[in-house]
Amino acid sequence: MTPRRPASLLRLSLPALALLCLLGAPASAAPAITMGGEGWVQYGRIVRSTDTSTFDYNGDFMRATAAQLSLRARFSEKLEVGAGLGAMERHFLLGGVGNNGGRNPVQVYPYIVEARFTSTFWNGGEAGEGSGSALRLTGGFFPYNYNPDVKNLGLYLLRGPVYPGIVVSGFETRHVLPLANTLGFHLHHRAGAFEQDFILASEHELYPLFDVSPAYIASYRFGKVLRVGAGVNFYHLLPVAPRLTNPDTLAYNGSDDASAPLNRSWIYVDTAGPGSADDDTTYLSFAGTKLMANASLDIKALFGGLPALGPEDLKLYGEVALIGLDRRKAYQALYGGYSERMPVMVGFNFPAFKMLDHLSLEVEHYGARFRDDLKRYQATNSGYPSPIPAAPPAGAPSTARDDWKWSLHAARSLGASVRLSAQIANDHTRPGGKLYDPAGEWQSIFAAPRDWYWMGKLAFFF
Amino acid sequence: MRAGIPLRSCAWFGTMVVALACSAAAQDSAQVQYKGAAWLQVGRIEHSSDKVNNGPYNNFNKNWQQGSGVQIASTTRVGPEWEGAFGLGASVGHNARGDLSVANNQYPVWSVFVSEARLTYAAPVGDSKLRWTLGFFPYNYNPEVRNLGLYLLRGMVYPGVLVSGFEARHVSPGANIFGGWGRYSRGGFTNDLLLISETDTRPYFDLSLADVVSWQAHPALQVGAGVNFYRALPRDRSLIAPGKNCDNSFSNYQQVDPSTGSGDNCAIFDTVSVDTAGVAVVDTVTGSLQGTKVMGRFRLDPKLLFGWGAPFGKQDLVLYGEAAVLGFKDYPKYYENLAERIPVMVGLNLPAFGLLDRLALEVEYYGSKNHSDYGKTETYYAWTPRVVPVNNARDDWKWSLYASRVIAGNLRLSGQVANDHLRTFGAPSLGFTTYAEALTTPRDWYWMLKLTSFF
Repeated sequence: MTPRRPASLLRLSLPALALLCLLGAPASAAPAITMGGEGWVQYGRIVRSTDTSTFDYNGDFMRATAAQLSLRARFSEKLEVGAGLGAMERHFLLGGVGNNGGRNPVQVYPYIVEARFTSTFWNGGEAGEGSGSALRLTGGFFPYNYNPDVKNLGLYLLRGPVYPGIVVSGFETRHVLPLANTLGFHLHHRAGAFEQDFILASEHELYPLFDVSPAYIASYRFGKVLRVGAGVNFYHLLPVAPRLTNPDTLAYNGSDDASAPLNRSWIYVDTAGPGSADDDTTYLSFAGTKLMANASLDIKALFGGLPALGPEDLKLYGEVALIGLDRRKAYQALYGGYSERMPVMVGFNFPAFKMLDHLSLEVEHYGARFRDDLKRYQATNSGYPSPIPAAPPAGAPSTARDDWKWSLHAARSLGASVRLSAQIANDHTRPGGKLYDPAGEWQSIFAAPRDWYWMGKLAFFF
Repeated sequence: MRAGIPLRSCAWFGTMVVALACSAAAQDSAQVQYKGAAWLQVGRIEHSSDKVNNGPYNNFNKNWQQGSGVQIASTTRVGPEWEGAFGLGASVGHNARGDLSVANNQYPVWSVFVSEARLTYAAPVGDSKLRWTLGFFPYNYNPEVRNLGLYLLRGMVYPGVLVSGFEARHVSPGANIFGGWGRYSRGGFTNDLLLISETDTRPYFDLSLADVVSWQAHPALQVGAGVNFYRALPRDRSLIAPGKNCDNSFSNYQQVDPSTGSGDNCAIFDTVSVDTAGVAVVDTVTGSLQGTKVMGRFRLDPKLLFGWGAPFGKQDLVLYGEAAVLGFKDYPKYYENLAERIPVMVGLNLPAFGLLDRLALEVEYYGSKNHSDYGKTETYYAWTPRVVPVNNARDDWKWSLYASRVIAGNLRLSGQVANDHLRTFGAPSLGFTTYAEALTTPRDWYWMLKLTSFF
């Protein structure tokens, strides 16, 4: 089977750049500059973690603190520039007493809050009003969230890889905060109640880096009661190095391990044929397609609003996705059928009667049969990153025990500058490396229904 | 007395900074201005010939490079004479991955940096102006340069490696000088005196003293010259001039590199003759990283000379150039010919007729026969070049075509195709840094595109 050879990045970049050249909005000489900043501390604990096949995270504490500064300059109605950066201190999870020798020094991470421009071609009316239209282009490294109801679970379309369909979530990740998560361009169009977004994202997180993923998301609002949306993400459709994204050989450094199907680098060998001569070899790709649909129903709007409730109360929302459309035998063997590639999330904002900004319960079902582990997407000195799922280590719990996830998130703003938030959950939080092996420990900490953690956060901002 | 002078200099520096800061703080009418920039860039090394340094793992052919960054800064004016500025930035890059066989170890690289941290005092003195700046600040004596050139303050003397690349910090508004800067200007004459603490290459902290003058001889013609007493005030003279033997069991520095078997890490062993018994007579030559650079440059705008206006853009047809001597002292084997230590560049802003802000073609000739690699300096503090079996005569000519255009007032699109002194610093899988250039023959080149939003 010959892998696909998609078009080069250049073909896509040039139209985008040409579009930029058409921006003719004159700028004012003295921009209006606003400064913003935020600091936060968070603290929590893993109360139970069943999977102790690598590290034992039971009882581990989690702590992080960060500070960020941002400047936004508005030159006219048509052009705004945002620049912000921050630094975070955190610790790798300690594991059991013997896992890190008891040593767990602080790690410092710089991050970009935003590095973007936004050019507004026209802007009439406000979003959700059902009238007017808007068109704007954002470029750089910027925040994007197509489903603002999500507090933790969901956002399947743009988080995580396709093969294997690893799902990403956790406590207030940057995907649900106003922090840069998309590197590339975003064209937004609104016409009345209809909104559509075209995203051209350059891969900056997962191997193979640089690849470009075009995505399209559309939504429609039925008054204030209902919003429905759908999207498609052609993940890594435009590879910059096709031989990395769509491998066509066993390995480039002889590291292919044929001892077990999940140890291979890039191939799946179907040995179900009558003899070895009939074995069917399939080269697996990092590229794939995701589909997504979401909806949000504001129940109180059905009754014309209830004054005792907050604006987020009584909202019912949900999201479903299909991660990977390839149904060839090798893909079905590794990733299952369509029903096993479909994460479904439903969320509900309980009535908090304005005592909280929201109190959101989210529940997810995802019947993936592979181990919930991003280990094979990390840079390593041995072997290659691979779209083949990670092999469960000895003693790991059954992958069927982590199908259900849940999260209860609460937040309360105190004035305009302080926000308290907290969460208890059994979600897809990952250790994100360990002290002596930053590429290790990328499995979900929570692998069984009884697993959970709690986290609290204090944020202050201006 | 090895460290006396730098120590006193540092103490003086510190006292000055504190005094100036206290004086500035005494003012209570601060005016603060903010500025910032954000960018996104992507490019590819199309051809890289070097199969010695760059192969097999460091095969950079068809390697992509990508980056994104942000910086924010503020300038505070305290009264009519004092100004302070500080800024910081962060960037994430995905460096060249090397050969496919080592592509498994590619990962994002995060960097934080200081874009400026300075205190400036400026006041008129009669018909003249005097300005003092202390801290970490941007300085560029030749603002025409887009890529090649700026020899006086970039790179070393021995070995005379050159530095350039796409929108390097030396041509961008980011801090590149750590130390002090005094500027005297009167009419079209400007004199810059710089005391520079080394921040780029090992050993750090050494002080260099430089002076740069420029004269606007005519509205159409500017000429300039400068001298840099590179590492004139070393932190530790034994580091920059190790003598005959740099073997050090603690630091593992050795006269002979065990990995390559090559020597001359701290002294040159020059075979000068053969005695009557047929045994080579070797002259041991000691030297130093210390040296003197001089530079001359010009900028000529024929539009002003001949009164040409439209349809040319403001920068069109500007011709500029720079030449330098990198060290006046000859050493056998590696630095025998002064002519091979003279880089020359000429640039011309091609007519863009207002469609572009600049379309600059730069060409450079540098006849050094040493390998353009300062790996031995970073490893052994060596003043000698790294010796590798490649033809060093094939990289004498460099070129660069650079274009930029500001669109919508505060967005800037820029791009470059070039065969310059780009360094990739090695594939991530190597686990160590290399300091060789990626482009070593006339066939080598790369391109980059960048989109910057700024205010």
